[in-house]
Amino acid sequence: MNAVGYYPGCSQSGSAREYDLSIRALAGAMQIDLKEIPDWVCCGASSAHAINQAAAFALAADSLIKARRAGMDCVLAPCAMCYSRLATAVHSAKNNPAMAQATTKALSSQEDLDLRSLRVINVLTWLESLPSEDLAKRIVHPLNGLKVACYYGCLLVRPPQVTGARNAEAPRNMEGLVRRLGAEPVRWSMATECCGACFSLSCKPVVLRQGRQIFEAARSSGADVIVLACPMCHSNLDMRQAEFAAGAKPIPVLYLTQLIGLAIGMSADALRFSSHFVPVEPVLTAAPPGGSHEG
Amino acid sequence: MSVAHPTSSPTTLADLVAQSTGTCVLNCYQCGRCAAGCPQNVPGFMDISPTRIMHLLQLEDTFSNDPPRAAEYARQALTSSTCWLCAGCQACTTRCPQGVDIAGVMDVLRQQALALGLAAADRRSEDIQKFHATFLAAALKHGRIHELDLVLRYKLASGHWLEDATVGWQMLRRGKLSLSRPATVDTSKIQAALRQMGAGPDGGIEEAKT
Ligand code: SF4
Ligand code: SF4
Repeated sequence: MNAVGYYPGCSQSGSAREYDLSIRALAGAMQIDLKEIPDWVCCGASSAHAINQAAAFALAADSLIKARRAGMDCVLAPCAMCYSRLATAVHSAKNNPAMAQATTKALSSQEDLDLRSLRVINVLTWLESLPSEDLAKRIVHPLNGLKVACYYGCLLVRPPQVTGARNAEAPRNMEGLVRRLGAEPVRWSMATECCGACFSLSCKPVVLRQGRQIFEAARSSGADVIVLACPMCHSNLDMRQAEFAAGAKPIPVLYLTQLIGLAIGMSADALRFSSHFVPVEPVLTAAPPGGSHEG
Repeated sequence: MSVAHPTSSPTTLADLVAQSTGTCVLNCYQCGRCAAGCPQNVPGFMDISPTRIMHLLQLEDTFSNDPPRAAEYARQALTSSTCWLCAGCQACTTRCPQGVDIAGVMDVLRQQALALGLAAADRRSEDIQKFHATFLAAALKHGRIHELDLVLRYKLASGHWLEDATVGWQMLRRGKLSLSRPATVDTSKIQAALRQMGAGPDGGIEEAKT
């Protein structure tokens, strides 16, 4: 009951460990059983599809086959990049069944494995699918008054043919979740702009330029915090903020699951705020635990 | 029995695009929307706009009865830095009123440029090519990416040893870079499948680069 297949992705055991921990803790609190796909492999990220289409499909398909074999019919991929690669593979399996079957056959001795019926979901879809009372009754520390810039980036919403996003240009589902915590989403212009994180190592001027633009828009919207659901976006906006926003008052960057964790009473230690580059304390001050409830 | 592979016969770039993305390049009516929303179509980055890339593919297709001329249009598209600087953000594909998958076109361009040895050789494009090759090789070899290992391998390939040394040090201090490789997963089946499909475990990158 309530079992969801889990594809952590490579960064969850390194630079995004706090994201993984917050997801697992949240699932635990909500009594959801996250079952890690046995022997999942790297999704290939932005590199495989750039230079080798066959490898891009094979890498994603291999993990999906393993999920299928383990009896899963829904897989949660918390990294937006992994989510996009896995969802794209399911999309290609539907649109190019001949290619998909040939690869699936080559990868697995079982011939009846069909990837088309697998559902790949991201953290937003997962959180939205939880019964709202389940979350509401656990909120012990409403984030009243906290101004949140909801940052989607690219791949949670685009392309809509793959993600099924209802409004890829101006999505509002993260805002809805944030409101349920008592916080106040701001209106801003950069919610779905690319942060350039795939060039973090290979072309740094791109990440600095995009990061600065996103930061400045969040700053002028009056946001206390930027909230997102992608380790690549996080590594860019948190880790590089001191570089692209030197001299400006920093804005903490939280994973959506960390923000929810705060609202349901998880401690700063459990949420590993100490691993963030931009200090998270201002968020705790803006919405102090047990603080104003008059909202 | 055997499926015709694009590499088995001389095919135009426009044909490859149609095969891979499912749309004909002539569907593009040059409205410029893809270029307008592209974060990388800014001075100093892409050398040809995504809209102009689509135009070159249309010209290649239109002049298919004049092979040298068609080939020249294809060469311009293939040697451009545009596909390497494309961030894969999917804004163009999402916004195209004609259903053209421009981000998919960029994938075709990168793969063809490497296969034909025409990939852009400016410093930025080369760094990006080295990064992709390093990443894919690591993913196919170990099944999972160990971030520190990836960074070091990329630095070895690109020679950018000092860049981000401070950030790296701070990541280590904050427990964001694990020193030891977390896990490896057997990828022999994936490698065998790719060989069987004629893609080669590294997609022919090593051959193309030498
Ligand atoms: S948005 Fe579509 S139709 Fe418009 S120029 Fe780009 S590819 Fe052509
Ligand atoms: S996918 Fe590439 S070409 Fe398309 S808008 Fe994004 S960066 Fe530009």
